[in-house]
Amino acid sequence: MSATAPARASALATRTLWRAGSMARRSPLLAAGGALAFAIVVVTLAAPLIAPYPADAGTATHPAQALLAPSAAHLFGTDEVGRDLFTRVLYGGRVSLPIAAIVLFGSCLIGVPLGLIAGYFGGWIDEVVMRVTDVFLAFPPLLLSLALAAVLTPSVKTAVIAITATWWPWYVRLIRGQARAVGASSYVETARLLGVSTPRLLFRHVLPNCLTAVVVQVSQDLGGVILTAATLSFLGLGAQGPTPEWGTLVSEGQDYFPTQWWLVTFPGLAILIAAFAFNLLGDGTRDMLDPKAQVRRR
Amino acid sequence: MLEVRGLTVRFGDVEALCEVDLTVADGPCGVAIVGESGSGKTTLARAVLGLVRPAEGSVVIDGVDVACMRSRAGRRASGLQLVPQNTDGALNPRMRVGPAIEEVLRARCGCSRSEARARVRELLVSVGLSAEHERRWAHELSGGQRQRVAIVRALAAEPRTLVLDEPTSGLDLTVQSQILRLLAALRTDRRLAYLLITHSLSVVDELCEDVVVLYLGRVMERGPAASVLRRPAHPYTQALRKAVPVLGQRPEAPPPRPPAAAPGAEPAGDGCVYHARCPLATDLCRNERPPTRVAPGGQTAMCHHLDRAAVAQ
Repeated sequence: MSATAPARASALATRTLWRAGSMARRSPLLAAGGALAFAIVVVTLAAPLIAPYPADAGTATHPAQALLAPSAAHLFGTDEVGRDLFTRVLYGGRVSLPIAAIVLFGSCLIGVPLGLIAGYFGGWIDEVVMRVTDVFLAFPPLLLSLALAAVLTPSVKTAVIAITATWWPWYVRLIRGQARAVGASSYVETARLLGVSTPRLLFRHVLPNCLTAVVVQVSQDLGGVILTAATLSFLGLGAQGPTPEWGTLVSEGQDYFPTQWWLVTFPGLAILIAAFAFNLLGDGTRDMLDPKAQVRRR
Repeated sequence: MLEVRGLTVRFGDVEALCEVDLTVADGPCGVAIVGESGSGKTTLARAVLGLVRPAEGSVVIDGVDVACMRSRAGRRASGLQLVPQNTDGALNPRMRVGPAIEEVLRARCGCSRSEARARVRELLVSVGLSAEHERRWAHELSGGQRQRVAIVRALAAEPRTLVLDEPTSGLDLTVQSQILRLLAALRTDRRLAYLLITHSLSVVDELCEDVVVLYLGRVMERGPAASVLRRPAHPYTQALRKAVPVLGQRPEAPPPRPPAAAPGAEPAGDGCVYHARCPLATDLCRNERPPTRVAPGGQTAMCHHLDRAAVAQ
């Protein structure tokens, strides 16, 4: 038994690698995006293990080492109170990525069902849903967020609620448009004539044919949400004080940009790479979700 | 039995159908609706299926108006099903063939999954596909196979009457003849009644005993397929007949459609709608509604000049 375990593990590893390889050949976009996104998630999760100065993620200060340029000891340099920026960027992912994930998940949770119902049924249901959505869209996003922050105390949670409140209406619009087009298609009409029930029509026919747009939109919005969270933090609405959120790091470093370029550049690069990775992943997923692009799987 | 009585459908100002009468008896039998694009064939099919609300007239199935059959239960009871046109878009691209058929079966009867699965395979085989096709996506099928799947789905709902909307459009000739043979066999085996919508006269011959020729939403000629196709009485049907390509001969194009004869641009007054294109038109045609006359072949045609049309042919 103990002798076969390593053999079995290696067989599994080989099979996994082979599968990953065949997927990479089929869809290099997806493979590249997936690998990059996976790497980002792993690095973020493993931050306490990788970070050279875990204490610097919090309130630690080392005045003697303030504003040091990148070096072997401090890969990304240090900030104005001497904290290691590499550590803070690593930990920043633990704040920024969950914000983006929760906002987008919440937006889909609200937007997809509403858009689906509005687009498929049309008529007065459509009117009601879309007018309510329009009300939310009528406010400039920041104004709405500010108003929300006046009611709630500034925190990461507030930022998530505020961004979600301005983000979901776009998902309603997106899905509604898709659902309208799909709902009018020949196959949905035929299925209806054939006696397929309305819930089944919605979830087996209309929704799957709308999802591609959602997946692509989500992956493309990821960078945008991170940036919006940064804006809110900058205005004092999002992550506070020592919490190393990527947007907060950029806004804190802004004042030093002409002389200490690393303070803005490295957190900015982190946002860029994360946005890029999830964009690639989104494009790749879209290709993969299109059954026409698939090699026949048996 | 399907009866269409005085059916008139308007889209805004456009009269897509005008007082069309039609009867499809219980199967096995077939009635074909023939006409060019814009003649109202598809509108007629949609009205029969209850997808278009008629302005006047009614569609009655076994004595029940389809207007009362909008519910699922009502549709089921009507025994009327559609084999849609353009099979490219008629199947959900994100559903495999098996589930697409299974859902129809399960919507109809409360049968279990395994029962439905077995029945799916049976049905696939009955239309000349194999059980293996249930795992295919729509895009992995050829045009002919897709048409067979569309037929299976309609059959799964156990219809008595099938509306066939251009069942052979987009298929090459050998596949066309296979599909027609399949439909002919199903008609006998399952005692189906067909309402065939087509622009192709050659399709009519194999599946239908009766033909109704539509032009701009009005019936031009109707009667037994043999007479209407072999010895068309109405100038319009004659023009359609001459346009059928025959190997080694150049088909004769029907008289061009002047702008005044576009759908919706009706002639003022009660004249024959075809007069603007008709080579035999006289002032009488422009001003007076043509009478319904019985032609020598036994069919009826709405024309003032049947005698001259017979000679012209």
